[in-house]
Amino acid sequence: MRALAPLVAICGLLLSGCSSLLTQTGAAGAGVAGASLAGAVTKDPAVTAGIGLGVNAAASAAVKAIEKRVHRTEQDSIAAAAGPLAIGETARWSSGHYKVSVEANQHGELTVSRLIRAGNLDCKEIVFSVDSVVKHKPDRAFYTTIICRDGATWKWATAEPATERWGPLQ
Amino acid sequence: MAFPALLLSLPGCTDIGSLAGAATGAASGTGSANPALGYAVGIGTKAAVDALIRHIARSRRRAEQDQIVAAVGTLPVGQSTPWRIRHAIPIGDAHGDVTVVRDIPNPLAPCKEVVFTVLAGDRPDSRRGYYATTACRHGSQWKWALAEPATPRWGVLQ
Repeated sequence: MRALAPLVAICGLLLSGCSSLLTQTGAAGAGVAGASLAGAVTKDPAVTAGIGLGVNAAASAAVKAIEKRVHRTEQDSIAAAAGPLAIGETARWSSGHYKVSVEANQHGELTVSRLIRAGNLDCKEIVFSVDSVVKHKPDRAFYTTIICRDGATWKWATAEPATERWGPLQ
Repeated sequence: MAFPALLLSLPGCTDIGSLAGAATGAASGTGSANPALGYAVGIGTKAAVDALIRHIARSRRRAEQDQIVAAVGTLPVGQSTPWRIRHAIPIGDAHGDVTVVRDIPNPLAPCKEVVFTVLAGDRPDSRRGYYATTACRHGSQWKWALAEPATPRWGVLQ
């Protein structure tokens, strides 16, 4: 984990498109550091490689856990902003990450397009935009998702794609 | 180097990075007496090749998503139209029909819910599936709009 700290800091500066770099180089870098350290104390290449691989796997898992936690805050921000809205009402959302994060701060507008209710279930289909600037022009990409109320808080409710459609996701 | 072989083995080529890493790691391990150096070169190669494969696989899937929703803009609810993806390297080509099942009325952008079929070949026993997604207009183009799953459902996807 210690080897990851500078990478996380650098990524905070580079922001977008950083997560794959972070996953790849963070884990690889930690593995290399682990292997170098092991190489310094043992002459057995198998032990060196073993320690390197172990550190590599642990660092990879750590990076993924960080990414997931950061992304959860973005999903929570969108769900919280859309929760109180009625159909057709619009509001602004912002991911509100910390200044240094593995993801860029995102923002946009959102609206509710459908209520999904059955028994105690209280869910909404929402459309949200992710606003950015592409080649000095404002750009808006639109996405849809489902949110459901869990007690007092609204949470992201879209399930994973069918396994047949995972393709390069995994 | 391994590039054509890498494309031929798409999909299911996620181990290529490990193989390339092992190959270069072994090669540099032979050239150097330091096992840590061999490991470092190997793991660095694995990371680079993994990133390349993810990039290629994602571009190919994006092209397929674009083809599926390309024509839904002018399609009224209940109507279908065929879609087809032909990759430059003819692996993973697929086709099917896409049907608009609902307009998603909202003040931000034109969006539609669609159901599409995917046939992975032309034989009667070709693998097929039915799937549903959403599409929204992005500038002059219709784009796939289904957002990612909730983080607690990521599981092994990440």
